[in-house]
Amino acid sequence: MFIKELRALKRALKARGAGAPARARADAEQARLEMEKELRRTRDYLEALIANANVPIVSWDSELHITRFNHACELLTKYDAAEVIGGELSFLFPEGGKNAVLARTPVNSETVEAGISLKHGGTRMVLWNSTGIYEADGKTFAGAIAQGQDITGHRLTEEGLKRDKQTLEKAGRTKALELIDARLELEKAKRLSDIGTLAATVAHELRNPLAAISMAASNIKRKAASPLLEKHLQNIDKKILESNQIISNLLFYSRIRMPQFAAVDITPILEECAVSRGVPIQVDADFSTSHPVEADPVQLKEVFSNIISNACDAVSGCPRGRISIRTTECGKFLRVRIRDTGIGIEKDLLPRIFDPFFTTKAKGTGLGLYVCQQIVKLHDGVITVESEPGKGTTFGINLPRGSRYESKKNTDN
Amino acid sequence: MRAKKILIIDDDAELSEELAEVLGAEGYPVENISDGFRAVKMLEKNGYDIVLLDFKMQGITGLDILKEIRAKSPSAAVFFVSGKPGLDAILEEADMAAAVDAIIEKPFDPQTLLDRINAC
Repeated sequence: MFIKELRALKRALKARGAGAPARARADAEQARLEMEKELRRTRDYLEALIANANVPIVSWDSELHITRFNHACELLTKYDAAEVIGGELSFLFPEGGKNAVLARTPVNSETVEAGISLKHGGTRMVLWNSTGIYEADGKTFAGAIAQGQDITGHRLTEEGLKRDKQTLEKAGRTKALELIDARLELEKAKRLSDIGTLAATVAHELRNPLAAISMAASNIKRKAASPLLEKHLQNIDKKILESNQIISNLLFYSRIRMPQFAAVDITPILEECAVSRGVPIQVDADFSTSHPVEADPVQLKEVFSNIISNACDAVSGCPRGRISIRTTECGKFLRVRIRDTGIGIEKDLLPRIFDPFFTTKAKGTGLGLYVCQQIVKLHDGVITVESEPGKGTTFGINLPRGSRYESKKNTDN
Repeated sequence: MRAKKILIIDDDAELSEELAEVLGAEGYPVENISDGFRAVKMLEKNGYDIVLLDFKMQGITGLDILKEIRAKSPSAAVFFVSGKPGLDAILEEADMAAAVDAIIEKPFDPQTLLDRINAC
């Protein structure tokens, strides 16, 4: 449209230059008016376009003062155009870095994400497309205009998705870890079940020959009745006991069962365990005083047998090795102390002696003390150990005194 | 007083032999048998005061034999002499715990067994 008016104006000027009088001037004036009219129309058209565009449009001059702020901007920021126009660009774009990118004078269009300030606080994230406006010389910066697209919703969605993804990943990891744990537990349970089956089979198959050996030794003892054979027969009995202890430990380890509580006297159980060792080791103990508790006698025998057996092993290489067994009543507990003056246990190994399959002995399954600890725990008791290399080891077994029913009732109250 | 007649039912031949000697030395008339099925027939035919019974045998369990004993010789004392773990639970489950006079776990001290037998 401009082209047509410009050509008419050019013609008019040529005509005036050529000396055409009044008519030419009138034509020129007419063309100028037409052009002004057309320019106004164009300006109004553009103003209307910018004002009513459904995307935010803002423009600024070379001094970075805001010159336009359309209706979409007003809706977005809740500012009236009058509050903003003439103000500093930084009023709308407080973020220094983004502001600098927007404010610089792009020759070509530039796309940048920048938050626009809101009247009532906060910002909206907008993707701006800005273009520089230059004077007629094409070099002098006159300002810029930017149109934006509110991407706050997208960003929030993206962040939400990112958070969801992270949460899902975390939940997935947790679930995966839970599954791994569950699988490990299952494998452990299956392993224990397999060990249990194996232990039961081995127990039955080994106890038969052990019983036969025991009977045979008894028959030899009776028939020969020789002091020369006595020591050897005692050794056979001792080894039968040890073998049976290994079987019992393995059985207990693979199938820990709840104690069958009964009113029992600890003293004869201790005496039986001490005497059954049948080896010439000095044992100091008072087996005359009765010490009743509620416990599983079979399991207690297991505990005392294991600890006394360990004590015997500990003193076996010591010329003046002694084992002492003391039972005392300490408040709510009955305390059995089994002390040996044997080789002792290294300090760094002490924390591990109750671990299954851990042993300080050259021969041994490493199950004995683990089983002892489990049994004592099932009796609501405590097992302790003190040891000094070269001096000996003391095990303390504390078992609750009195009726379990009464103890439970008192605890509940 | 007549000595109590004892039958050992165990498929471990060496154990039965050694055990029979231990009991025989104490003056008990003892027979032993390793075949569980034949043992049932012997029980019917001869009658015993005390039966020492293993649990796991070829083709038959001590529990089956126990049921036969209780059906035919209700007065005989029956001792389970076994190395099988958890035997008391098995008997409980079969409702046969009361049908047994004692459970002696292998290996055992011969004197412990003798004390139990002498007390019968």
